[in-house]
Amino acid sequence: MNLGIGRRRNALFLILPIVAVAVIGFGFALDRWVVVGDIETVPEPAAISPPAPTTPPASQTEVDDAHFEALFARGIAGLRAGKPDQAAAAFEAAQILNPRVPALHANLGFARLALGKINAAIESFETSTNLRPAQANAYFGLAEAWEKQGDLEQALGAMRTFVHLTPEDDPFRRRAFSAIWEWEQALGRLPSNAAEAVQAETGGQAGARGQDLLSVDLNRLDGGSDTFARFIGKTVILNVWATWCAPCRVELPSLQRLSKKLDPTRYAVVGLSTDEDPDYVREFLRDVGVDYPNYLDSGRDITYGILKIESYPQTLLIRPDGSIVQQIVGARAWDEPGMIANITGAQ
Amino acid sequence: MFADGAWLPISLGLYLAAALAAIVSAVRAGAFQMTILLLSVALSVHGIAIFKRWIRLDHGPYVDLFEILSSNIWSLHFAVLIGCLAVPRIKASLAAVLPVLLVLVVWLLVVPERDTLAPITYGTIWLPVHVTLGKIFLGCAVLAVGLSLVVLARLSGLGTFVTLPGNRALDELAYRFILIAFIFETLMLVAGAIWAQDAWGRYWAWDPLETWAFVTWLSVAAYLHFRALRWSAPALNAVFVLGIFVVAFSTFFGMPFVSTAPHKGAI
Amino acid sequence: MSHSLVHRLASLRVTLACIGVAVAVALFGDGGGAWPFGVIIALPFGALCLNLLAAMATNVTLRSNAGLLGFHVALATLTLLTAADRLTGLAGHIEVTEGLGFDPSLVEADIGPFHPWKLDSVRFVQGGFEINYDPGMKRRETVSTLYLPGDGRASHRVEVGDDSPLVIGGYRFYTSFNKGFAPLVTFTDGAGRAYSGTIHLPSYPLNYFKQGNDWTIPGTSKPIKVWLHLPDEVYEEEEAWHFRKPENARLVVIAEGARQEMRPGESIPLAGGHLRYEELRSWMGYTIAYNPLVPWMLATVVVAILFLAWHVAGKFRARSWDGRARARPSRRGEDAAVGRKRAYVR
Repeated sequence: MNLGIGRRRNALFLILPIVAVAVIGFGFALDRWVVVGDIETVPEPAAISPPAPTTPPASQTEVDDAHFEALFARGIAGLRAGKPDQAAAAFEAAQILNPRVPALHANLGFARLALGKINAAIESFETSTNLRPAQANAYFGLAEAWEKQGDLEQALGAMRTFVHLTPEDDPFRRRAFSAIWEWEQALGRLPSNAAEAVQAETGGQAGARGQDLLSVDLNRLDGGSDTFARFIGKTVILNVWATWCAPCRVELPSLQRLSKKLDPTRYAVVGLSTDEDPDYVREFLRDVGVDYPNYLDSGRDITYGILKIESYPQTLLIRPDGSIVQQIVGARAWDEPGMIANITGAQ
Repeated sequence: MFADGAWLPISLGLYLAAALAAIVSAVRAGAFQMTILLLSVALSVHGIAIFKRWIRLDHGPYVDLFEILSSNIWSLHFAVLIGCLAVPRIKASLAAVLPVLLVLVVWLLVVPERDTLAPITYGTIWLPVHVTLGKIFLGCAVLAVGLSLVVLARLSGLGTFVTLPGNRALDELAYRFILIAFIFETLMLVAGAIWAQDAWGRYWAWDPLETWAFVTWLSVAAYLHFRALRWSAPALNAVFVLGIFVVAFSTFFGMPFVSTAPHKGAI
Repeated sequence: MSHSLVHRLASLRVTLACIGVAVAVALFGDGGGAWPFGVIIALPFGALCLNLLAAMATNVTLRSNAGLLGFHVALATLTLLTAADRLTGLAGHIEVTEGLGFDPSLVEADIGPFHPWKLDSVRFVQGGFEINYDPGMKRRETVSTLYLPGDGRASHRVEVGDDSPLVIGGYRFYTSFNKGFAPLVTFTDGAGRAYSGTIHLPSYPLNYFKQGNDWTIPGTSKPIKVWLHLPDEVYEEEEAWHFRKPENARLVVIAEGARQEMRPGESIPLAGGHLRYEELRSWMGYTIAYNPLVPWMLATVVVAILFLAWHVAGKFRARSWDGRARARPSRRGEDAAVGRKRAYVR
């Protein structure tokens, strides 16, 4: 091709229109004739009607919906523009129109957080997670709010939930991990050096932790409480777990079988769940057929506070006198002969 | 002829032999016939291994680390062979580039070979197009790397490569390979974006692999502009080319395996 | 603007600096700083566009080199189109319950500030869906049936799934990995008023261990908890299976400390009225995308590549790599891209 274009001293005024015409023309052609991923509609005989839509419980007029959208959008714009007061006002108004939108409450929480209304922010984030337990950004907000309140325990819990709920490429994960690390350090949970980490695993300290266990109250899933002392005189296999932890779920059936194989007068398999809601834990255990005693440690007072356990599952073998003889990290096949021999031998 | 699992190890041995032959030829200022022969046989045997796996699993080699590594070992050696046949005067650069590619060969030995299943959104023509364009890009870049290594080896006194043209000419040729690589890299990004738009409704989402592929593109763009600067010189340009290769390498072989599939959105 | 400032802005060093900043932003700009990533990434590319404008005004080599110039102009156009696309686009997601219509008010989305909100005119009803799994919980084909309004009372039935989206009003709805169950219940209060609605349970099988949700009884502020009790395994992890609604699932209601179970069609007394478990439905998650400028972006990038290829071909034709001129004399202005020419010596 030789149009003489290449030879010009100044091709500028030729190239600009060429690019413009090519882009617009070619773009129109693509838009018109090459629709990416289009589908064909299949006409349905009139006799077959679609399933009848039912009215949602909270029915609102379309006007309200449009108004809600506008308010919501205004709130988002306010947040982006760094005007939290304007955002909070918009979200609060939208909340009246439709109080059941999880994202709304999460955003209201962020607006309130920016305004320094920490308690109100926590309330919004909690409303959001109650409406939709998987509302990840609300947990992030909760964590930040609790950090501002100085409650690092709660902040840690919320941030862990956030990390658990977000996909690995979420840009906020990096911040979440560094916050978790920082808070754990502030709470003195991260060993400052390797020597300390090794010491944490030695028998003496584990024994001391076991002694602390004897006096604790355990929250039953039905709302009542037991003291750990009720297991004195038995070898306790204490399994620390959570419903959202996949390896924990994998080992549950083998723990259940183990509980049936061991002599109940001398051994007790006990679960300690770090979940938030006892009812859901109980229903889950019912679904998977686990019936050995299970307790709830939502605040991680026992798991972190006494046992310094940070990852799940972990299982402690506790002698009848309350001393911890083994701490097993990760899932196991508990009813295999080798494991049973280990447990009965540990007495 | 061979047991099913034998094709791949044999080809890897042949790649090693080709690299050794190239070094011997370079030291003796020889003619590299043996290297070319060994390389051709290695490519044929390896090609059979890839083809058999392709037929057995019913999808191309682009799902897991093993497949991507294996197919890139093939395509990079193939690119080097074609480059040296097309420009016979740079055959001696084989002695510089084949040992580099051996790193991939050794790596493949420690990667487990498992049967894989292509995700459902992989059933599009844009995927093989995207992958092929990417391989051409990386092949051209590797040819430039070979020439740049020769320039740097000469300047650091590691080798004279008497049969090769002067540094300025090698620098210019590396530049031209990078120019071709740039075109194919741009095409690769476009094909990938079309696939992503088609399969998941987003042409670009800054996933780690997309981000690094774009950083690679920017680093090539930086190199092309850098060459037009006054203080551009063969040694600096050669270092720049190696830098591009390092970025491209970590994009191709580092980023995809942060998660289990090349693109996270794919699963 | 003074002449020398334009010259300085046109410098290649500015180009390199901008590229460096762009790399840094691409790699580290998403750390959740004060400004959104979209704004930060726009800065180096905006600067590159200015740099190019200045170079077009001052750099004779660039201006006289049609291929190179065309390539750069197309890239700048692409930058502007991309920015426009992000400002007008939408990327969101929605969960639609079987038997119910798409409700735009439930869409959660990143919405460009100039996005023409047209989702309110999008109407479809979710039908059933099928998903196949290979052994090892590997998800295969998704086929989701939707009903679109047709003429009069008739409706169109369409099947979407995986990489075949529903394209409607410029929006594209892709089935996502997200789907689950939603019990349909009716609460009748003491005065005989009935409210029907579905309760969304978390994504299944992803959250098979948490098939419960909190729910407020309509017309009251009483929070209760529901749980879908699945006594039998719906799937074996190591076997192929097919997403389906379990036959024998029972709805568990936990209210005021009491636990009650219902089969479909049964009801329980609750909060002065009664709650009836009508049936189990499913819900399907969709990602929604709106990118009207994509065809023009693709056109631009194709134009850019054609210009680049033309430029490179001209360059190669003009002079051989080892410094020997080709048989045909080099054409003026096509030799060096930008910058000085060199003599290559062997």
